[in-house]
Amino acid sequence: MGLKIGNLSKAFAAPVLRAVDIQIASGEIRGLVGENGAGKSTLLNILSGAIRADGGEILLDDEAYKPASVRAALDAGVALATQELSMIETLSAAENLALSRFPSRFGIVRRRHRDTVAKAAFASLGLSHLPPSLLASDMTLADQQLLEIARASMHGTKVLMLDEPTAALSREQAGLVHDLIRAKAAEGAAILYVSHRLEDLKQVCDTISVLRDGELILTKPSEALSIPAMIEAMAGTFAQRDRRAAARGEGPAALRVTDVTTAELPHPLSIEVKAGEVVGLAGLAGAGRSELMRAIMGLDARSGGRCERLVDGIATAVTTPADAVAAGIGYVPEDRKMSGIFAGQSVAFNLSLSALRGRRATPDSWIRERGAAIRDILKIRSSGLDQPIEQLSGGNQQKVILGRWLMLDTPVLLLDEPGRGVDVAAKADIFDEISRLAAAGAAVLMASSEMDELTSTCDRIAVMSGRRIAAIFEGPEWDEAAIMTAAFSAHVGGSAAGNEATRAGVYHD
Amino acid sequence: MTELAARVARHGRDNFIIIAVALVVIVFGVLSEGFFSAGSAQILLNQLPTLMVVTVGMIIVMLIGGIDLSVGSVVALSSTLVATMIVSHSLPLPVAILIGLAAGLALGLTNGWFSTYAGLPSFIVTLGVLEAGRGLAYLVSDSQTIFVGPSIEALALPLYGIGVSPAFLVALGITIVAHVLVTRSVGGRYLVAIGTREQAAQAAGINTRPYKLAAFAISGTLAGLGGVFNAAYLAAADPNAGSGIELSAIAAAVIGGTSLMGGRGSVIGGFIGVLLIAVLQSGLAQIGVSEPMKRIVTGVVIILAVLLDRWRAR
Repeated sequence: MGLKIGNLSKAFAAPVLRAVDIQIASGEIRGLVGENGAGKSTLLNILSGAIRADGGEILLDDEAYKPASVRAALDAGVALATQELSMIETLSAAENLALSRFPSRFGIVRRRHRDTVAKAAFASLGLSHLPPSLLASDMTLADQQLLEIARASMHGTKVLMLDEPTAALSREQAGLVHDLIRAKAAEGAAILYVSHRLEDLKQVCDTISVLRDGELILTKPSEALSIPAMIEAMAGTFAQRDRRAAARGEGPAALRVTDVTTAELPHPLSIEVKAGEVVGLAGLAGAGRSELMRAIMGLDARSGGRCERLVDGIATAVTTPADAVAAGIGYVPEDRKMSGIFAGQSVAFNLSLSALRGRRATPDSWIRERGAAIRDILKIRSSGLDQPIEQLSGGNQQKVILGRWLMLDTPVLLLDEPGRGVDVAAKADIFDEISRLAAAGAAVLMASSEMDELTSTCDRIAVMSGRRIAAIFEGPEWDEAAIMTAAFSAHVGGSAAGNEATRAGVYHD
Repeated sequence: MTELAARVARHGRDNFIIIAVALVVIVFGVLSEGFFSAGSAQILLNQLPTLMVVTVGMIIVMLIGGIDLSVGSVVALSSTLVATMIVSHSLPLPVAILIGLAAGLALGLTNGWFSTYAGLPSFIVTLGVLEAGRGLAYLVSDSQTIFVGPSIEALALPLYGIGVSPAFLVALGITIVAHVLVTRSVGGRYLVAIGTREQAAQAAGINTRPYKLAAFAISGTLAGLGGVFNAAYLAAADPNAGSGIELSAIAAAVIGGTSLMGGRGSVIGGFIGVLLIAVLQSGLAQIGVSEPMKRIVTGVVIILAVLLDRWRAR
């Protein structure tokens, strides 16, 4: 029983999957890791019926499985919770949950039944605070992600596939997802769990498989596979290191934020970033880190306070995003797909957009020359500068968005989760570059949910909790426990009940 | 509590438009002597069936993120076809009506096939059909108005006792049924899902193309029915009928809270939008406003209504 994949292959322009063999037994939790571009998404898409394989054979409970559509896959009991949010914003939470299979009579939705099912499913994922009628557009990213997972795990799912299910989640929410995964496995489902959070995989999975360049490199019981071994199998070689090793001079203040408030940030917030310094923003989901960055950038209207860009002690006020860019502040947003990339446009277009500012005509030769240089610096893997950006892996897309600011040598960078949804090797490239930029005099403010991203790269870490700055820590030695305590400080000692109340409060507003 | 609040918030936009219509009615009631009379209400309502059914179809197409510019030409084609069948071929009225509806369905399927399966933008496809459909209407009618007479006019005449016409009752019924289907049926929910984010709908296992095709087919068929109502109202078929009705329907839909971007829409809201436009126009006529001023005021009110709605919804 379970899922048997034999000799599976798929090529787009080049081979993406090369004769992959994977067997997952019923009740087994299988981790799958690999760099972006290793073929994980292709494998998931074939299994979920979104694309067809070129060759090979799949058996589901010893019967041939060859889904012609997502519908067919769902009917066979194979469901995928995607990394990209796939909620319909104009439908309610309950409707989104039921989307694949509306309970209906004569084509009319049985609404009471739908809401009962929804409430039960919400409860299992700690979403009891969600009213079933709440529109998806009013839900937090984390709740949307949890809802997506709830949807995939409904209706007698035999094979549950999760693609980066915890990327947008806090620790405690990730714990709920892991509980759900274990429960589904105990019911006899085969689980395929894709994640870049290697510690999570080691904790939750029975076995872990590593894909590299479309080939299955190894499959081992998770207790027999160390994280460095996983990383080595994925990337060939990788060295976890302290990126602050590059000597950085303590420069003058480059960005000063004073008593800023917005609709989302009721408490005045102040922070300063010096040239040559990387300041981290730590905190739980919903702590206000992204909101602070948006406020600095002028993307959210400020109700009070001011943001200033300082050059040689002379302050320039920043009110709108255009001011910010003109003053030399660059921003890499959290939600790459929605606010970062211009899908359908080339790598060159995506790189050059902010550099076009204030020029009457930007010579194509300049864009190409500079773009090619940045492509080399950031090791962007694309077929060229003309490749549409959506064809690049997540890590390479992220590099392009960072590169957009390198085109102009932007001296102040606001980076919101620069390592999210990015594979280990690309992550190393990105954080190396951040470190190099700081060494060259850039001022960087960087929000991250990954402790190692912060501790390896930052000079100072500001911890946000409940939309305030709870504490600021100085490197290079970090007390991770103290950082976590500060992150939980607004939640009454981090108790689940207190946290629940805070989150439910968001919906009452 | 929150659930209730969410419900109230969602119905808020409908209510707002109702308030706007009520205000317009009151203003004209004060300004014009006979405006509140039952007679004037009857005359008003019996003018509406064509625009009502066309607007329902338009909203369904707009829900999936499309647009149907061809409805006016479909109205004309259906109406001239029905008239020709009755006058030149002596077919019974019900058969003639079915032929009119079938013509609407055929053009709707054409719109839908090209927009969905051939992947062309519906704006372009329906613009083409708008042009070609009008040409067909001229061909069918030989560019002449065809007088039909009392057989079809009965549909548009007030029924004894209630004062509204059978056509209005049918249009009202269609509006209500469409509203229920959009809000309560699985297919209706799918249309909303497709219009909001088609890829996500596909990932949820919805085969989106048949639903999109159906939306255009419904719009075409309803425009065909609009043609029947138009012929009944005039007791004749005019090959120029329905010209510009697509814009009135889009205006009514948008006033009623339907988004041009898809995924958001209310059939009842669209009906109230139709009422608002009609009340405004007849009210302005009754207080003796000139035709050019009427059009200017109507244009301003359309923009204001949507602006206020946006502003209220933040």
